[in-house]
Amino acid sequence: MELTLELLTLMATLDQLAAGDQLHRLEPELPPTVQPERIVFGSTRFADWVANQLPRLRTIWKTELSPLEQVAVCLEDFCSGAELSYGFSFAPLHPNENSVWELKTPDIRIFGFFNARDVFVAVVADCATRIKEIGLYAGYVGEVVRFREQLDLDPPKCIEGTNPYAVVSNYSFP
Amino acid sequence: MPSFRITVSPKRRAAARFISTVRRAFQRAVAEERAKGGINQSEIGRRLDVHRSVISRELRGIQDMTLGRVGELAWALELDPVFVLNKQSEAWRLNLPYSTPAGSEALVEAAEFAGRTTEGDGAVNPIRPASGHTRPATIGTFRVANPTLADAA
Repeated sequence: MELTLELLTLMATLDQLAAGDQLHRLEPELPPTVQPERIVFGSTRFADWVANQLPRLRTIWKTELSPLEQVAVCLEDFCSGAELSYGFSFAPLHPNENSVWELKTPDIRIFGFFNARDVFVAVVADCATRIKEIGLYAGYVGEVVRFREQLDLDPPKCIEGTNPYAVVSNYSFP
Repeated sequence: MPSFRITVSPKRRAAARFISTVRRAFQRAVAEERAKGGINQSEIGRRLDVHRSVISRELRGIQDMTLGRVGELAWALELDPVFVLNKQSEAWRLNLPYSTPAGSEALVEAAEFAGRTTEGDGAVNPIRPASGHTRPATIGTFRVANPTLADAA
C-alpha cells in the first residue's frame, strides 16, 4: 500500500497492536488505478462479524446490494479517499463527548472512532433496523469507548469532538 | 491475524462500485445545491411529483434507482448525466491488486495508454496524450455534469 508518510507513521502504532491481535488492518480491494488514502482497522469482534455474520445478512430494503456488498463498497470508498457525504456515509453519535462515529450503509451501521484523521478503527457493527428497534445505540457507543480505553495507545487515542473536517478529508454536507 | 479482507465476487464488486459512484454523484450534486441555497430535496420531489422522503431514500440508498430515474433525478437538478464506458486495464480485468508485480505492470501499461507516465514509487503524473491511442484505459465512470460546462467542453 502506498500511503503518505504521516499515515505510515500512524499505522506503525496501530500495526503493532494488529501484530498482537488487538486490531486487524483491513486490506481493501481497490481498483489497480486507485491508491489507498484512508485506513480502516477493525477489532477482533468486527473482523469476525465481517467473516461470519455479514455474508448471511439480507437487506430489508429489497435493494440490489446485499449488506455484504454495501459494507464492502462503503469501506472501499472510505479507503480510496472518495468524497464521503456527512450524514449519509458517516456521522458522529451522541453523546458527542464520547467521540464515537458510525460509518453507514443502507442496512448496516459500523461503530468506531478515528485514531487520527482518515484512520478509522471499527469496533462493532450491526443491522440498522435491529439497532433502532431494540435501542442499541447507547450500548454500542459504550462498547466503543470501553474498547478504546483498553487499547495500548498513547493519548490522545482518538480525535475528539464531532467536527467532520477533523476526522476525514474530502467530504460534503448533503 | 493482522489483517482481514471483505470478499465479494468481481462482478458484484463492479456493480456495487457503480451504484455507489452514481449515488455519491447525486449526494454531491445535492450538497452543492444546498451550499448555494439552490434546489433542495423538497423542490426535487416537487419537480418529480413525489414526496421529499422518496428523494431522501434514493440518496441514502435504501431505494434503488432505475436508469430512467437517474435521468429524472439529474433533470430535476438541472444537470445532464454523462455515461462513459472505458476499457478496463489488464489488472482491473483480472482483478489484480496494484501492489502485485502483474498489477503494477498493468498499472504502468494503463497509465501509458491513458497518456500518463509513472515515476517514483507508484506516482502517476498526467502528460500529453500518448499518440496512437484513441480510448483511455480507465475504469468506467459516471458523472453528473453541468450542461453549460459540457457545452463549453
